[in-house]
Amino acid sequence: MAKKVLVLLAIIPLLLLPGGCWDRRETEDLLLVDSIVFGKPNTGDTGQYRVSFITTRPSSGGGEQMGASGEEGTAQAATQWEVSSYGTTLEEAIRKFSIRSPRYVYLAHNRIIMFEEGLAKEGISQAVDFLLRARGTRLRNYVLIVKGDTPDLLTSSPQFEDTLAGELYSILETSVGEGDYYYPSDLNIIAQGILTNGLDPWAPFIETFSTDQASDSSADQPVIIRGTALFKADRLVGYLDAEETQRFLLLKGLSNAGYYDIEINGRKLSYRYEQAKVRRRLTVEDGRVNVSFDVTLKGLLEEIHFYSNLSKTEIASLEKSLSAKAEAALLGTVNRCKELGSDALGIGRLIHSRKPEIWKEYSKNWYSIYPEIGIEINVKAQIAGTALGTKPIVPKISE
Amino acid sequence: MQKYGISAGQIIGMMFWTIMGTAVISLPVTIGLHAPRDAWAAAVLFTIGGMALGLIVGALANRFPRKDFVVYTQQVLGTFIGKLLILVFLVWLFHTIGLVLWQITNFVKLSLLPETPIAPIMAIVLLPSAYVVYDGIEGIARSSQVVFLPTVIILFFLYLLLIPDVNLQNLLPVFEDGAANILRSSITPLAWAGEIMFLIFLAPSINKINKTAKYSIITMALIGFGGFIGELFYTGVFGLLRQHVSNPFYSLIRYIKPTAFIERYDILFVTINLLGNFVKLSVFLYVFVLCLSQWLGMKSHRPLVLPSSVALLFSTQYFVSSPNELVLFLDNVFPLYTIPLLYGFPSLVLLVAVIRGIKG
Amino acid sequence: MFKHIFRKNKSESNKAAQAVQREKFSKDLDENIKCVQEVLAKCCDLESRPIRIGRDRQIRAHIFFLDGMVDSGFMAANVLKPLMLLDPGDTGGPKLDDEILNSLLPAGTVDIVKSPNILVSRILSGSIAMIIEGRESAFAIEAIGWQERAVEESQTETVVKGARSGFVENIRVNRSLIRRMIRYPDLKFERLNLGRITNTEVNIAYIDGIVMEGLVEEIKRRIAKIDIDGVANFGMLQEMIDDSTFSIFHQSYSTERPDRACSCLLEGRALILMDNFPFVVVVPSAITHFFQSAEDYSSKYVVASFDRLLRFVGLNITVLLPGLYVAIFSYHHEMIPTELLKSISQAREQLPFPIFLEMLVLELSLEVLREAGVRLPRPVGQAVSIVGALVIGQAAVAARLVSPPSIIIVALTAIASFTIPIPEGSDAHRLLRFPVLLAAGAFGLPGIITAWLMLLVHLAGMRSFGVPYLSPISPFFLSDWKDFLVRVPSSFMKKRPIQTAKTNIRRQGSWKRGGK
Repeated sequence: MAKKVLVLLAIIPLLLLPGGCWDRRETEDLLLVDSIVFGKPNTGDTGQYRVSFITTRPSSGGGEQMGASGEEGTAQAATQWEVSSYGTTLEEAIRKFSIRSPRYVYLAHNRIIMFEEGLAKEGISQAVDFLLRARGTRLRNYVLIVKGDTPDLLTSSPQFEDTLAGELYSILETSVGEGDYYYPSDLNIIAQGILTNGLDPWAPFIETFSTDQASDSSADQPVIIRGTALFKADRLVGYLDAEETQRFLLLKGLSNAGYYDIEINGRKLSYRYEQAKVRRRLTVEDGRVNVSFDVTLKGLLEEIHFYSNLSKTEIASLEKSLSAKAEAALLGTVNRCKELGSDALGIGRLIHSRKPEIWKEYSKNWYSIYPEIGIEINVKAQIAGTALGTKPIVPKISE
Repeated sequence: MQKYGISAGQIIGMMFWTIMGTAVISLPVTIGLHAPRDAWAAAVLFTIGGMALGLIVGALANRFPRKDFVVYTQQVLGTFIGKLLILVFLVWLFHTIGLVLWQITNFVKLSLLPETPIAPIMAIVLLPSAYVVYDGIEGIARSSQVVFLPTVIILFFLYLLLIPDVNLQNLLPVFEDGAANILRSSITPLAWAGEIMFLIFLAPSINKINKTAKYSIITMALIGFGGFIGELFYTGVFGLLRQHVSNPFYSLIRYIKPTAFIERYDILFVTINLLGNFVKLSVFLYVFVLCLSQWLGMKSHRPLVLPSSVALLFSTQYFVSSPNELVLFLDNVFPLYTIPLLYGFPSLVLLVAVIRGIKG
Repeated sequence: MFKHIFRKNKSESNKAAQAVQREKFSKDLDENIKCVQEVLAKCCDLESRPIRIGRDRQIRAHIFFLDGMVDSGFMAANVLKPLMLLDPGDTGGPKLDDEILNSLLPAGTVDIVKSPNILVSRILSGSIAMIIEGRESAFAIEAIGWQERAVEESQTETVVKGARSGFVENIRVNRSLIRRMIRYPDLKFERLNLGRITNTEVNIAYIDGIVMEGLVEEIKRRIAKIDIDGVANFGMLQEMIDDSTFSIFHQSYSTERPDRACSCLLEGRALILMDNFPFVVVVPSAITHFFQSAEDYSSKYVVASFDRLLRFVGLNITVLLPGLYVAIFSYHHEMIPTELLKSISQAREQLPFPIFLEMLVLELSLEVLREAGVRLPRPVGQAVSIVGALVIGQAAVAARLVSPPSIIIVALTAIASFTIPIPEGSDAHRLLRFPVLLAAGAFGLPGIITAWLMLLVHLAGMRSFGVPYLSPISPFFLSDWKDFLVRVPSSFMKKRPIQTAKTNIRRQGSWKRGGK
């Protein structure tokens, strides 16, 4: 029994001894990095990296302050601090920054990683590898591609949140599902895409918003997500715009809402689908692989500019023309991907998982075979739901 | 005073974490070396070996109830060979405890305390285990039982949260890596599963000694299920990236999508891991100290606890130099001598005992 | 060497006692009187008077009693009056004793005592002693009549609904309080005496046939082993019979409530009653007692279960929260949501002390405040708590010495520590948060886990009178969980705790509950 006590007593000094401790770091000593932007300086100096940080500058008046008159001082809101640093390696760039920074550069709370267009075109694998090794970065960090220049981006200011990173993060987090014009891509998706043969990375891209009104004061330019950037292995090869992104996500099975507008006799009809099912099939003909996507859409009519009694036959004919429209649009997107040479849709992986023996031949020079693969799209658009019950309103006097 | 033997729940609690403890930390990478997409198959295969060993252990426990393995080994194989084999086992065990301790320490260092030197981390990791070993088997059994259910439930809950991110496409095509590779990758976990033979040493304290085989098979089934789910999720979420991620399951838990309620789950995983490995380390240390004391013919294992722990603290730092080296070692060298020892030794004792007709 | 010294002391003190006291009465009354007076010399509360009894008041007798210990009205009416006025029938023959015993003394407890030692101890415990001429024996007539507290509501364990009476200082009243609840012949009270000098009466109460096997003998053995001059508090007794003396936890627990004590008896536990203390000690105790309160059985099972879970959470907050706060905010910043980290670090901007020191100082000052509040008279105590909690806390934040989140954590810890219903539990846990805090300050989360594991191992190895302290968690007993962290409806608790009532498990027969 007495020995137990000795053991217990021994712990206390044992714990007290190293009381200063190696890893202790007070919260006020941290510089919380919200976002890292990797880029290339446009001075033409190749082999250089630019790493920019968007951080939160702590406000000076935290806590509660009592003025002489007894009134409470208002805590200032945190402000954004952007800073760039250059180096021949990413590590060097960060190191240079941490020498300049009065606080410990803390990456574990980083939420968004951005790659500048210039760097992305040259390849992002080194940067991704660096991020995978870096302590603290999470694989769930969202990845964005910056179309345009980093300096432009850094000068643009957030509209709602404290920092630009916070704003982009909120947009990515909350706006999924509303039209599905974009879907967040994270470090895991990017890294897997770089590694896996037959699956290429993709990520949303952002651009500074330059409408006429906004350009009055350049400092107040907002940033918006424009569409999807496609990669070939680790290189950026091109962009899909918002509409194409919607189709792209539908084919990837990531989105299940979207719009199609068709014109019948010069009059418009707007269709919104809220359920989408994609079945992917492989058919082999004479050693040639054909991939077909069977897409079933379910949705309703949002807007009709002409009169229709919405009878069964009319619905059927509307569905038919909608299907045709959707087919064309989806095929367009697929062809765009093929054109760019990016297999972000994962056609290669599809062949790999369904027909491993065929993939064995294909895998060696997949990028040359990929554009030749026949891709077929069959869409079955269905009109269902509440909007059916009411007939469209059209003026009683027709011209 | 009434003696409490080890109950079924306590055995399962102890043996589950004894095998799973470090498996959670370092096995995924080792398994994935040969069969990344089919790692889940390897995670199931090894349980068969473990179950077979469980049967042997059960047979031995039935044959020599309430008798210590060290004692009847000498009776069966002769004093000299018996002592020699036990000595080999002791050396193996000491080295393996070192590896275990190193893995836990390295995990803590990488994930939580990057700048702390390795020695103090080792000390605090080893401290509770040394204390519980000093207390004896009852203490180990009870603390394992307390630890078992909460940790397993939380782990299960964490996996549930990962479900939205699991992409089963990543597992396709099934068995592409080929049978040879899958078998090859299940060798290291097979060595891990051999640790179920520690039950022989605990058998004299088990309440229902004739059910030892049943207990070990249940334990192995649970471990197999855990390994299966773990590997399935790991490949499902990370695909080929799984081989490039340091701290495999830790990264997996860090990948859980933040919810409004809790944003980070790291803390839960680290806690589970440390608790589970406390059980592992305690059982290992207890078996070592018990075995050594019986080998030396001592009455109590207690005087050996402190010297053994200190020896471990000092020697462990020289066992491994880098995590990469450890992965290769665990893949190529460790099973070579571990499997013959853990599987062969009890089988040999049983075989000779049957042939010579010796019963306890 | 120490053993030697102790042994010597013991024998010396025994010798001293023997020198004064004598084994037997002599035939001579005066010598007997002298003997008693010698033993109780210089005791100004000793009253003695000679009386004459018998048919013609021929027989000399002498009466001793302690002033204040006996009820004088009772003495006059039931001892002096019959003796002095009534005729015993026999004059000095051998039958006189019987005569007096059987028909002259209307008092309840009258004994014939053969030795002066016992007589003196009876006087000291409130009896009237009467020595009659020519006899080698004496009468001890119990006439206790000292001032004492009435049965009042328990102070430490108050309930909203439930029995109000609490134990008092008088062991006889306490016995009666228990007996009133359990009118069953197998409820036994065994008497022991403790303390060479104080000679305190100690009772062991148990229900024969239910009590854990061997428990009573073990208690007797442990109490009999104690060689001490006097027990100043029941806590000392608790400590002296504990299995693990050095543990921070008591392995028995004390209650002030007869209903609680009785339910413990019915669970197969034993009670140790001690004279002069309004508490009874329950053995064996286990971790379950940290969560059970008398209130639980008067509220509906859902509410009771909720409260118990709250207590469990409260216990964990008390022990772990300050440590976790320090560990997370000075080691593992990545483990908290970004927004939370930002707001905390905003609050901590430009504060002078590291978070660990801040918490340590705050927790210590909280303990100081608590101690001051407890020791001071009640109204003053309240004032101190208000000044301490509000003014100092507010001022410290305003002066930018500590951050508001730390104050919140400390306050939460303090409040949470009050949810544990028994003082034995809350005291231990209140202290335990300091080792955890230190471990967190030194190693962060691994430190906390190590500290927690040390605690777990300690609890796992501990026993209370042979019963594992961690039961029913481990060893695992499902039926005991019905009255542990949750409480199932009473009609489902068909069994007694397995650990304590091994031989007589069934508490309820198989009856159909409610309207069925």
